[in-house]
Amino acid sequence: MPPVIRAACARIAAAGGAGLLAACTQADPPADPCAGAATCVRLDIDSGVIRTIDQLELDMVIAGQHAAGSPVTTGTVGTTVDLPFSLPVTLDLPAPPVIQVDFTVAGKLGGSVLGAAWVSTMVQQGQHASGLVLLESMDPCVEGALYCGGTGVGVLADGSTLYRCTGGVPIYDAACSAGCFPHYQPDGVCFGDGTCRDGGTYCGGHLVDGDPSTLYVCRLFAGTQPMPCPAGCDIRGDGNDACK
Amino acid sequence: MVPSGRVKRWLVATGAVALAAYGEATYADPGSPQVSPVRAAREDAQRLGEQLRDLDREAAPEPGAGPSSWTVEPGRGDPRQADASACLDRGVAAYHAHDLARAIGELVAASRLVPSWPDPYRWLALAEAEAGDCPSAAINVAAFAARVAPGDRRLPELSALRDRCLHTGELHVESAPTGATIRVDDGPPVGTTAQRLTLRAGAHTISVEKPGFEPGSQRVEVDPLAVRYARFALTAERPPPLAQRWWFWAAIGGGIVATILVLNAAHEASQPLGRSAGGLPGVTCDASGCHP
Repeated sequence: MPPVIRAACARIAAAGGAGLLAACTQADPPADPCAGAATCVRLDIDSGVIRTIDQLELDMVIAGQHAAGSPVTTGTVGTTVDLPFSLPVTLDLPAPPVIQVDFTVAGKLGGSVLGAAWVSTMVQQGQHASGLVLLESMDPCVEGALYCGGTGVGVLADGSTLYRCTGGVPIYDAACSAGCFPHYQPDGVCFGDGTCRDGGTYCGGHLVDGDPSTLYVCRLFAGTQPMPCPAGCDIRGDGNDACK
Repeated sequence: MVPSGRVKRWLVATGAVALAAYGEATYADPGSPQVSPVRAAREDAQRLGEQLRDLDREAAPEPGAGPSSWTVEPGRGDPRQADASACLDRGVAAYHAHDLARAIGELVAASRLVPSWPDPYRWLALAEAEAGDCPSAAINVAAFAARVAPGDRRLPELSALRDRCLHTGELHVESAPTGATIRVDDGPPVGTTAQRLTLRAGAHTISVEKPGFEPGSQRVEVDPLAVRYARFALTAERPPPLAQRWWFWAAIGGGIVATILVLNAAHEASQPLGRSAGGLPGVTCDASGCHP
C-alpha cells in the first residue's frame, strides 16, 4: 500500500476511534465542584508521592479564627479515591467581605496519615477561589506536643502560629502575636516579652513565653505551673490574666 | 573556645563591618546576571561564620575568666542562672561548630531559664539568621535590644543583622513530582524541589525543570520577613516526533477502542470494591461550624 494511502487509512481509523470514544464515554469535562455555591474554595488535591486515599482531614482557620467544628474529616475508610481530584469547600458566612482561609490538609488511607499540606487562600463573598494542595509525606510529630509552623512541623504552615500534633496531624492551636520558637523541635511556644511580675498569672505569648491558651504563674520572668484553658485565656493585665 | 572580653569587643566591631559588607555584597547589586542571589547569600554567610571562628581561634582563654565574662552575667546564687550560663556556652559552641539546630535548642533553653538575660537572645538571633530563619532572628534582635542599655556595643552588629533580615524573605519551592531543578531569575541551578530559599525581597522569576516533564515558571513576590510559596504541578512532556509518524495514528485508532473497552470493564469491576468515582464529598462552613 502506498504511504499516502496508508496514512489516510490510519487517520480514518483514528477518527473512527475518536468518534467511538465520544459515543462510549462521558466526554464532558469534570463539572466544577463549586457550581451552584455562592462563596466557595475549590481545593485541587494532588501529590507526587501519594496515589490513593480514602479520607481527607481539613483543619481550617477562617478570618484568623479557628473554624468551629474543625478539623473536618470527609470520606469513608475503605472507599478509596485516586489523586488528583477537586474538593469544594462552601463558605456560608455573613462576614467579612474578603475571607482568608488557611487550610491544613491531611490525606489518610485506612486511618493512617499518608501526607499533609498547608495552603492559604482568599475568597471574596459571592465569588469562587481555588488552591493547589500538594500532599507530601511528613515526619511523625509527637502526639499532643505543640509545634511552631514552618520548618520542623513537616507541613509548611504559618511560621507565627502554634500547631498541636493531633492524630499525627498538626492542628491549629493559637496565633503568636510576637513570633514563635523554636522551629526545629516540639514544645513550641509563643514569644512573650519577659516582663511579668513574680506571682502574677499570665496568658502565654503576651508577657511570658508560652501557649496563648494556657495560663502561667510568673516566676523569675518565666511562666511556671501551666494550666490549660479549654475555652481560651483572657488577658486582663496587671498579672491578673485568667482562663475564660 | 570562648573569646576574652577584649577580643570579643573587637569581634563585635569586626562582625558589624562584616555584616554590613555582607548585606551590601548580597543585596546591593540586584541586576547582576552572573551572581545567584541564593549562592551569594550562602557564601557570604559562610564567610562571616569563618571570620567568627577565626577570631575565636586567635583569642586565648584568660585564666579565671568566666564563659560569659564580657556580658551581663546573671548572679551566682540561683541554680537556674548557672544552668542558663551552661546552656549559653553549649549553644555558642554549637553555633561555632555550625550545628545550628543544637545551638538554637541550647540558646532557647538559656533564654527560658533566665528570660531577663540579654545574651541568649543575641546568639539566638545570630544562629537563626545563619539558619535562614530571619523572622525569628528579627524578633530576637528586638528581645536583646529591650534588655540592654541603648549604648550597648553589641547593638550595631545586631542592627546590621536585622537590616539584612528586613530585606529578605523566605520562598518555599515545591513541585509534584519532587526533584525538579530550580533556577532563580534565569540564574544557575540553586537546588531541587522541595527547597527553602532565602531571597532578596522583591519580584523574582522561579523556574523548575525535570526531565520528562514540561518546564514551569512563576513570577513570585518575595516580601521581607515573610514566607511565600511557589508550587508547581508538573505535567508529563509530550513526544512530538512520535505524533508525526503514520503508524502512531493507526495505533491510536485501534488503541482507543481497546482502551475504552478495558477502562469500562475495569470501571465496572472496581465499583463493588469501594472505589469512589469522583473524589470526596465537599465541606460546608456556616454559622454553626464546618461539617462534611
